[in-house]
Amino acid sequence: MIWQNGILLSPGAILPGDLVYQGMRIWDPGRSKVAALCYLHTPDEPPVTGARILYLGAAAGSTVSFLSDYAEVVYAVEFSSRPARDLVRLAHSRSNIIPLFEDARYPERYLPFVELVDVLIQDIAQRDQAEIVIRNLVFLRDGGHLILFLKLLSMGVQKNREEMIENVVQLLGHAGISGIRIINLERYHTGHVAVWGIYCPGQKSD
Amino acid sequence: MAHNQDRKGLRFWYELCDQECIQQNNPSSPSWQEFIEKVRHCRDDLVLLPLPVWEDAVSAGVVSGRPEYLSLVRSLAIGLAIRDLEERCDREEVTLIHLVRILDETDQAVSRLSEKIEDYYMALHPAELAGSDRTIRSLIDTLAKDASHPLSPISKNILRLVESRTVLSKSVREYSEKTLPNMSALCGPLVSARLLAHAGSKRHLACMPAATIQVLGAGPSLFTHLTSGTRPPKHGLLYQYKGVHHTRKRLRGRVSRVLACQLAIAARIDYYRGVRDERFIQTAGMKILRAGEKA
Repeated sequence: MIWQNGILLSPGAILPGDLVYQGMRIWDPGRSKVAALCYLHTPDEPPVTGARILYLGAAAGSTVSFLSDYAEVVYAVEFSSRPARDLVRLAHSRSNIIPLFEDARYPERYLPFVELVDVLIQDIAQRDQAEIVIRNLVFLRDGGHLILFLKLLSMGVQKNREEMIENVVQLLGHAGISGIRIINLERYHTGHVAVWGIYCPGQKSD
Repeated sequence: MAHNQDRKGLRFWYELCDQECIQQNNPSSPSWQEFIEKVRHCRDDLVLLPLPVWEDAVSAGVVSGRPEYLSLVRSLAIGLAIRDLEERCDREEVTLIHLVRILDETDQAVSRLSEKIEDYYMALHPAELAGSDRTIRSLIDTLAKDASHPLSPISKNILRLVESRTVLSKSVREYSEKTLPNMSALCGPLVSARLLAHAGSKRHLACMPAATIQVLGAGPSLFTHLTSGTRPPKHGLLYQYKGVHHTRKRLRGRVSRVLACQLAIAARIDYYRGVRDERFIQTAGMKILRAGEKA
């Protein structure tokens, strides 16, 4: 990925509203969780360059537009009609974004159109965010990366934070995700953590 | 493909695509519209095979390579999304939601501008602070008439905005009485429309428990209650209904609770039946009235 003087840049065509540094789009960690992850975890970055990505919870597609600058193709799922309209408009102006107006809880609806991907990213603020990602693991190839952004507040206000994360890690472990790392995004996004693991369905462990 | 024989009518999406489509690759052409409809049908009948592989599409002779495969799937996805977006929206409901949002935005704009103009006037005429009965409205009226005043054009515009606001609120009322007849009868068309706009759709509103309807629009105070244990909010948007804010403070919680319970039923009648139910309105109205009477 492209860094200049400690700023993460993105090589794609500039969209209205983008901040620009030395002729390139600035990928702001305060606005995008994927960028925040890059800033907080610099030794190894998420392997998005040239990759096939499935992004669940694309919203209006600001993060998706940056990912599409680096990736080969981004399949973007969003189920809310207002942001989905912006997403379709964005997909129209980029050649490698494939918009899917579907509910990520029912992957069978978009299963016929999405191929096996290298990276699965989910950013959905719902109570059952861990269950949703497990249902979508069918899209991830062996050895592919899973990046799950958890919004802890969405999983219940009164529960214990560590307990909730531990629960999710256990669920993912049973589903075949190994080498799980927890990255706290508190610095850029309050109440969010990233869970990052590699999909190895052969060696299930807990 | 190896398992070609036991597919039983199942197909990959690209097998529905004819040569004409591929050559044009123009999603607004008639052959594309036909293709998109076909894919929609097959998707809903669950006869499409999962996880397509682009190499198979090439060996089936549909596309020449990866770039063409991707551009085809992209055009298809955009077409599907547009068709689904069209289908998903109930025109009257969407109109009402957007009209009421525009109405509230207009109100805010008018009151913010008027406030600034009053600030300006009071800064220049502090004498009027004591004992003058000049209202903001009359101030704006006089400013609008005084053609030499620099604020005259903007005052005229505010007056015009207020006029258009009246027209808009009339049509919001009409739409609301048509799409939410039972709710409008209980708490007024404007408050019902705002509840709908907050919930997002009639379906969401109909699925909501009464307790949620009672505190719709009181999000921040609800979360302070849940996280730091302050007293729970009595009402959100429902406060705007005159039956709630005209009651004595002690009874407001009860009135808004009873009102929310009846509104939850009304929302379901509006969504599932869609017609006015006089008998329900009468009994519900009685219950709400009684809640505000007892000491």
